[in-house]
Amino acid sequence: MVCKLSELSDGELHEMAVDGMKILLVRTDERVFAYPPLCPHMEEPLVNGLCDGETLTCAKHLWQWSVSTGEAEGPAEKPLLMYDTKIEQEAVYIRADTELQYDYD
Amino acid sequence: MRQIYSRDFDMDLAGIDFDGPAASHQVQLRAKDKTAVFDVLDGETVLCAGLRQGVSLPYECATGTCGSCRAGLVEGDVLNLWPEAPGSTFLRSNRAERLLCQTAVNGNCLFELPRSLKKIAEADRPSHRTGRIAQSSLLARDIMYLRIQLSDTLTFAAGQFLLMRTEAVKGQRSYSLANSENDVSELEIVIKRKSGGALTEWLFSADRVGEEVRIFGPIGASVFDPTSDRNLLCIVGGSGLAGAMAILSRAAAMGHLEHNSAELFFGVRTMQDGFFFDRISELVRDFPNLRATIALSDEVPSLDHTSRFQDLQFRHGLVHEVARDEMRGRYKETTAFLAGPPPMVEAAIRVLLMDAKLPARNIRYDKFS
Repeated sequence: MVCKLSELSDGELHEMAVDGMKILLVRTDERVFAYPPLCPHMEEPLVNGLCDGETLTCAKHLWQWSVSTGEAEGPAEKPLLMYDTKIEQEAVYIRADTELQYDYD
Repeated sequence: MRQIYSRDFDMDLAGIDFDGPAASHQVQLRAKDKTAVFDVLDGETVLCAGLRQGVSLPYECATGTCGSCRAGLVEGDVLNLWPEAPGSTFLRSNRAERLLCQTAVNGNCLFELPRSLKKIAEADRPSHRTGRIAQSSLLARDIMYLRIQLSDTLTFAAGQFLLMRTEAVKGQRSYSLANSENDVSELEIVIKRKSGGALTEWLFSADRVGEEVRIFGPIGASVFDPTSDRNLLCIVGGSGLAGAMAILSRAAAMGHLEHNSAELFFGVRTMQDGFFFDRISELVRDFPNLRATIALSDEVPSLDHTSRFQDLQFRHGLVHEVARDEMRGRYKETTAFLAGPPPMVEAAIRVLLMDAKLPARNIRYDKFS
């Protein structure tokens, strides 16, 4: 377990340390999505970005992704990697056996 | 070596002040798809050298802040022109990364850049030039207007900027161009006084009319594109007005405002900090599709202000909040241009993305820091 669902405010970006890895979390209603913390473009911390619950935007160059699928939208050229998550009785779990990292080419 | 110098090189040489024949070194830049080879003059930055020879190196500020121009040094002897550059925090030491905008070379070098490179069309390549300060005046208490007479003409897109330096002080800064025609021989520049900025202090501390300046440009991609842009929205603060004036003047001159609308929101602290009000008023009078609003953050607009500038609207508040309130529901086919201090630009981006739901592709911006 990484946190309780109630610790995540809806539609906002949260960065947490899980087993020494930084992970970015977004909650939309009863679902939670988890990603590596840095933008796949220029490694900007995504927690500084913007989120409306549907779209996540990096503040650096406005790359955008779908919160629920990580798919690239707008100017973004790469999708977001995602960790599997699970919610059981208000507890948020993340499967992060290995740290997901972007190939910054 | 001589044969590989292009014609551009000889032209550029005339604009650079190096004692005697300028020595040059060869830089190889191993990119994702190919290796670019270009020359770097003594004292020139790798970024300027690459751009003027048509290599599409990544950059944004070109002055050491944003970190966009970083590349790995594989081998060679380089000189870091500004070790304390704020953009250094983006560098990854495990790849021996350097900011190309702050790197000069002492010999042949090899860099690695994990990106694809394009060739910049000849007409769009920036270059080094010499200019002379023809006029300087204070527009407001810490805003200076400079008119610079160039040694030859320059064509630039509305919204572009240039790098300027003098022999008198170290370092260079970027300045937005306020005028906008093709083949200009005079540049209009608006400069915000910045405490501790060597070049601004040099400019503000004495009358510099007649002094020679070195210019590199035009650069910058936050530009007006008349082929695809429709309605224009400019949200700017302080000296960021310069680029907006270039964009709106260019749009007006080419007939773009006959069928499209334009909105200018110009934020300053108080009336004393405002400038170009007459120029904006004139544009508004000539082009009914243009509206201009002055947002005063630290002062309630008085009757005196509004009666003096009847073509402008005055509001009290932060410029991004004023724009948000005035623009609600009026973002159809809009391209937004933002320029000003980073907190202002970031706040305006938030408004445009979150409130207005403007697509990110329709937002162009420059942050000055």
